Amino acid sequence: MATIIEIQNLTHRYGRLTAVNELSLKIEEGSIFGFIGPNGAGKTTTMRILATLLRPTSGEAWVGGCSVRKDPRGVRKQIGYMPDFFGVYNEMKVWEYLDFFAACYDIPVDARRAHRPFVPLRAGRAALVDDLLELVDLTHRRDDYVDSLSRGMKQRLCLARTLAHDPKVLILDEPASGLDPRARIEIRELLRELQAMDKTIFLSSHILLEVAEICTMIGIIEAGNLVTCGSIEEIQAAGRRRRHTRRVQVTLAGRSEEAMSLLQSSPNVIDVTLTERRVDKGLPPERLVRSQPQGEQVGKQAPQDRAFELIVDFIGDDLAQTAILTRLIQAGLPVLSFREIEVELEDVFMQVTKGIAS
Amino acid sequence: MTENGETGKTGTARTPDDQQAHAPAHEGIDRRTEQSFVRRAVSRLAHLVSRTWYNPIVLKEIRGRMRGWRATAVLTVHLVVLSCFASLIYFTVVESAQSTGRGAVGAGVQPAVAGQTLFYSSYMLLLTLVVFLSPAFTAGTISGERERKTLDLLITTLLPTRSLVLGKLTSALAYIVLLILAALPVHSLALMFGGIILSEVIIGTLILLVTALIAGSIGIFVSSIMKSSIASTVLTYATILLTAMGLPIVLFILLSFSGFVVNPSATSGLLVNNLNWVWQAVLIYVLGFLICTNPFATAVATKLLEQEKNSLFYFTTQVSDRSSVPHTLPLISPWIVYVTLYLAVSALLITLSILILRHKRG
Repeated sequence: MATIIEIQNLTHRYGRLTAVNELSLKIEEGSIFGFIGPNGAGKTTTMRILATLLRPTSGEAWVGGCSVRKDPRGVRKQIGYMPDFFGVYNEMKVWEYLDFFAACYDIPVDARRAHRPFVPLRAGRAALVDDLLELVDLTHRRDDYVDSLSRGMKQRLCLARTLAHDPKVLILDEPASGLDPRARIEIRELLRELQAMDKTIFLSSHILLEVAEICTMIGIIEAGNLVTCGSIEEIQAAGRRRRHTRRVQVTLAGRSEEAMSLLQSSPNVIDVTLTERRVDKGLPPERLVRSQPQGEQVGKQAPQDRAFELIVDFIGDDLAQTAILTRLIQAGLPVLSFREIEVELEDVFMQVTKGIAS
Repeated sequence: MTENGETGKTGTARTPDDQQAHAPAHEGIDRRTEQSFVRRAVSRLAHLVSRTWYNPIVLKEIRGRMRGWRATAVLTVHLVVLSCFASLIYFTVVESAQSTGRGAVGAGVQPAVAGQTLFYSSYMLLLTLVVFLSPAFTAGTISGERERKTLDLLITTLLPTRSLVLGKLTSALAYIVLLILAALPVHSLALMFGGIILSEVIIGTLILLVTALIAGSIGIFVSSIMKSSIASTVLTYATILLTAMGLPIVLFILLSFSGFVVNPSATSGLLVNNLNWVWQAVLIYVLGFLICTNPFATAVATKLLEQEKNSLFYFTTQVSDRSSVPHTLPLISPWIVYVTLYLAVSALLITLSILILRHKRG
């Protein structure tokens, strides 16, 4: 996989305010890169520099080998840029809007009769417009005015616009912001489809969870600095390392007090919290117990309609984790389940960003 | 693009077999260079036409402008105002002719007088409309794109800045030309009475078009600087009011106070008694130039000089002081200066707008 976007020591200042500070980044071809950060972190500035709308104060960036400073036209040929606002002309119809931008990208009306005067205007570009409309599922609104579309539809139309010249890279600023859940899912599906079409997608969001699912790579930016960058797994691992703790969830059929004191006294364990959970009343107690082989003999002693959940934070590796389980089993406690909880991405985000701000 | 067009044409003129088998290399080159000048000129012209024809901005703007009720309403109001005005003038002429008894013998109006009055007054009104309507179509265009945040989108496309600016201007001018053409019937009413010569109509139209161009260019230029459309419109109108109305008024006041008598119907334009002839000449040229900066003054002066000197292009005037023999000064008709001056100024403004926009994209 070749690098398609490369950013090197990129800095942009608005007067005294440093919006982007010495940012360096490499993005592989065909990946979906999520650029995450709170509002005002410098995401939009970075994207505008990549879209050749801003000249960086210092540093350099390349898209597909073209420098944004020296060859903006070369960059523009390769990117489709969608800003964080709609930017639609209200007095236009949907097909006209796409046709207009296709024309701005020098797409001839008809490949055969390119740049010969006085041929009917809708001869060949119409095919492209129809394809784009079909891709974003707006064929049925072809002849409607743009301002009659819903927000989600407008966003899809804008996405279609960025695809007019079949760019390799899509730069999408907050593509899902302000959309209802359904429209969000539709946009996400579209992005997946575009990735399947070998597009590299560089998108930004201020909500990590929103994009975590589709991104192959994530960069977290705060106050102009790139805090972390890597795949989701790498970021989670980094978060774990940063926290130095791991977390397991233990479900017990009973004897929670005993388990609490046992765990609190064990080495490595930092914190134990107990939550009580009622088991569904409709489920006969026997079945619940029978389905859990270890719990069979203790089932009679414990109140059968209850289960206890312990969240255990501990320091250490996999061995430390097995040691905790061994201790519980050796004490004869009725363990229903024992599983590690992944560090929540949002937690990582909070940790990582807070770390810089304070 | 030009190269592509050319190779395409040579490809169709001679089949590839021909080229390889028969034609010696040098002959081919000769023929090519011989034809290339004309061909290049033709191909460049075709390219220019097709660029304008295909300019997406022109298409978009015209589509947006002609859609809906506004375009029709403006056109209707324009024609209603013009024809009401023309009728008013006509009846005034008839009325005054009857009351002064000028038509005692001929019973009524002299047709030539009626025709001329109709033509000149409706022309002046049309000129006023053009001066004040053209900036309305350009003053908000580029700043409007900026406000709607679509300018960024256009910049990230491959559309050259030149096409953006020229497209905006072309589409605005197209509408103005439509207004001028629509006013033709009102003008031809004057032609029915006679008294108008073709050259007047042609020069008048030329002044109208150049006025539309310069007013539109000022609008484009200001809107490429300003962030908001309202500010841009206000500044554009302020500039145009100042040059079209304010400057002549200020000049007139100044001249009256400084003791000159301005008499536009006199041949020299100035009656200055105590000045050296060189100073008189300088004053004539300066005043003449200032007349040429104003569309209304230009139109009036061109007509008056045509009557006085019987020339639409070139004439002379004489200045003399007490000490010397009269000197002859060569002068050109104001419309020529006006057209050249404002063509140059609008070219400059358009170039500046393009450069500003190109620079702003950073």
